[in-house]
Amino acid sequence: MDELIEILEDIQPDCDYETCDTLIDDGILDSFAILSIVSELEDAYDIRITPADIIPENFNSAAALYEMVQRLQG
Amino acid sequence: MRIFKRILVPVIFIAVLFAVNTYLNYLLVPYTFTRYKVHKIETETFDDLILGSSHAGTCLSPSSISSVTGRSAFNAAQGEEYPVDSYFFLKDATGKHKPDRLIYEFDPNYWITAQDVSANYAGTYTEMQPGKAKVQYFFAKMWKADFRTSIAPWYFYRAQLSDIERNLFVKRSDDYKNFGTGTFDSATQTVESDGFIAVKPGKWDDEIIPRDWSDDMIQEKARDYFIRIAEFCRREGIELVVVTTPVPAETLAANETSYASAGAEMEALSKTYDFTYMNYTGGDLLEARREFTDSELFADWDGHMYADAARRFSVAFAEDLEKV
Amino acid sequence: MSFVSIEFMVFTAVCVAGCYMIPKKYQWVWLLVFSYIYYLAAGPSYLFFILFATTATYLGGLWAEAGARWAVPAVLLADFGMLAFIKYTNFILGNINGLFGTNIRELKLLLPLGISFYTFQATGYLLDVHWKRCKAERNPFRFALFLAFFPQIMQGPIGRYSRLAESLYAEREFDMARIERGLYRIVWGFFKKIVIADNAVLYVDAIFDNYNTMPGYGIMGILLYGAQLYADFSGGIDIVIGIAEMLGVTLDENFTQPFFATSITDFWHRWHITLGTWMKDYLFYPVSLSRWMGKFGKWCRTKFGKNIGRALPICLANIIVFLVVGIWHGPAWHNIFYGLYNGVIIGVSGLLAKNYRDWKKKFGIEKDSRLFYCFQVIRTFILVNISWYLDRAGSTHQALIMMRDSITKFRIGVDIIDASSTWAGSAYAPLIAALFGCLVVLIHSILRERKIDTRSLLMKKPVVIRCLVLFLLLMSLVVIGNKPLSQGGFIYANF
Repeated sequence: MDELIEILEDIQPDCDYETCDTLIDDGILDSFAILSIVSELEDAYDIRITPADIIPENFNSAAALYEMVQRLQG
Repeated sequence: MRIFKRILVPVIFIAVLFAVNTYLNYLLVPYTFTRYKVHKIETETFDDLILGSSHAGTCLSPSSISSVTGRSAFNAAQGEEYPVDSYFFLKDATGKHKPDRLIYEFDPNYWITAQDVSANYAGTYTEMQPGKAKVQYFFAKMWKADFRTSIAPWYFYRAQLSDIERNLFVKRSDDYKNFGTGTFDSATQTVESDGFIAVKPGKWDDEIIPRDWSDDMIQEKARDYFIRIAEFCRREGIELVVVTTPVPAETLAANETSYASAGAEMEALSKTYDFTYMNYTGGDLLEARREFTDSELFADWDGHMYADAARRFSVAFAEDLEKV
Repeated sequence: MSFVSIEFMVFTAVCVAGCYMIPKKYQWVWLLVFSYIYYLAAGPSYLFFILFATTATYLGGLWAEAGARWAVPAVLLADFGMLAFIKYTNFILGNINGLFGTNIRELKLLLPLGISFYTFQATGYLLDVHWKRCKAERNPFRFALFLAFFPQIMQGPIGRYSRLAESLYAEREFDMARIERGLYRIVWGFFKKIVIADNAVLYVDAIFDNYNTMPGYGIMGILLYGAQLYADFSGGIDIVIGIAEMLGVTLDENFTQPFFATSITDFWHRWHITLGTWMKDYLFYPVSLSRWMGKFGKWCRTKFGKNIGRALPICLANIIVFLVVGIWHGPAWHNIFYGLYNGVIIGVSGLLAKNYRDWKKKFGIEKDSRLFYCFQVIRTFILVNISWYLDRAGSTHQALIMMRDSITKFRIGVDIIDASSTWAGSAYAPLIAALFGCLVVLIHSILRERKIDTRSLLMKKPVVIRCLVLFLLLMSLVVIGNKPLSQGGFIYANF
């Protein structure tokens, strides 16, 4: 989880990823950021993210992202 | 009670809207000869009814024609009258006082241009008395048009605030109430009681604008309504005579092929639908009546004749008419 | 059926009134019938295309859910193939003729009403089913309504099945307040269209049609074109959403004050939103996450390092998306350049995002600085206006000439139009009317930007005030609206 937050902060600083759960709904992450995150996550956790996974529920918070990563690893 | 209250507000709102709109129509829409002409054909019977554009309005004097034919005649032609308008005009007249003969003026230009949405667009419709023809007219022309055109015709005159005083004066006068023609007298023209638009001396615009015509430019709608007129006449036993009024020789020379092919088109239709076509822009009639193409007889290049010349032409036209 | 015709108003009134008089179970059937009447009124020959898209996509959805791997690509190909054939055959033929000096006759193809919009909706639905974001619709007639729903078929907004289905097929109660809200929205749309767009277009057309003989009016032309385009498109959408609201159907918003955008990216989040999100979900992400893009990304990272390597594929995907947006706007090179212009700006600013952050720190610009916000809004406004030269001009050449002349021969004035042909007999009147309309829309936009729901605010006022607002809006259509134009209709109904 810490590693994940580090990745997020590297891509888009100035946001409290520990608590925020409206990253998409409030437009904090734009499509550029989303894809950057995807590409970092794919490398870091050796997973493959498909268009079907790009839904707000998966990207609204760091926790949701973590959950998705674990699901895709499993 | 609650339902009553719910409905009350929209009803009052619409009533106010209606009242304001009616009052603005009264203030801004001037008294034009369209009202006069519609009233005449709705209330009186004529043997010969003349319909068409301003060319027919200014070139054909019913009283001069009557002096030769001995039949009563009325000129209901007016500028911006497209075939669709003529058709419903004719229907409206026939429903009330059927004419024996329709003299329909064919101005080629009206067949190749789409009608501009201007004050005249809904003029005839607005002045018509309610009835079957008006309802059909509504669905044929107003139903698909911008809602303002038929509901709020004052909007064509919205900038003419300075005319309100005159409009009110006219509309309160006896001339208006009795459908008189007194107020139509202007510097350029006057309207006589037989519907003839008498053009006064003095040149209008005299620059020749090319008159294009080719068969693929024909607006389906114009042709379609003309055929409806022809078929309606046959059904109702009304004799149909189509005429193209003279234009200055210079205009003719500049647009020779246009006038020739437009004339040929109507000639072909006259064979199919069995009516008389009298063309003063080509063929034998042009040859025989060449004196009426002298540009000195016209107020403009487009073919609006001075009243004196028009009266003489009307006599000649009536004589030609007697021959066919 | 023109929106301003009596026909359309009666049609809508009957549809709305009838909807609440019939048994609730059949309300969606009623909407389907009216949608198809509307569609047939536009021309029976168009019927084939929508029936084809409906049938193909309906079956495609069922097959895809049943696990047929070929279903999704096959139906996508059929839907887009039809759209592309109709929109682009002549463009391609024309270019082939031009390149090789051949003389292949162009086809006489009429663009069927709304084909872009229902094709986008259909393909979006299919991919949603494929990605298991929604279940396939079993009832073919319900699916037909989703594609053909009459107010939205002409110019969008492009609906998503997952959001639209709920209110489209719902059983609805009559609600006077909702009708009233819908009415305000409709009249507001007419205000934008008739007072702003129809007046502004007089100058825009004069300036763009005569750029050779009367050069230098470009800046005036482009500013008015912006007003015209926004008022025309968003006004049309207001009417669509208002009618749907009266029918108890909630449509997606298509505009959120685009002129307050702080970047081109932000602009596309506020302008034609449903097209933007469609492109993002169904083109941008699939392209970005495709295998070959993944390989390209890896190659970039080894070549250019982590940050640039990560951003480059995204830039490329952006450029591809906007290339498609450009082509969709019309098969012509100036539209393609219009798309590329947007794509490149968005791509480059994404590439430089990190640098921007550093620069801001360097210059000590606060995150919430008002001045910086104004700078961003104005900068975006200028960038957008430049792009519109390419959008409005008839060719790239014309756009470039006009851009140059805008500066070198700068002129401004109303003598470009014929005073006697305007509704007031003055060349100033339509401009003043359009500017007045813009001012009203600006005030409204500022309120909306501050998250004030203007209609809710109005609904709380006494009935006299509400009636007065409605009365003034209606009267303004007649008093300062332009007279009907021979080239009437809405711009985006031609896509």
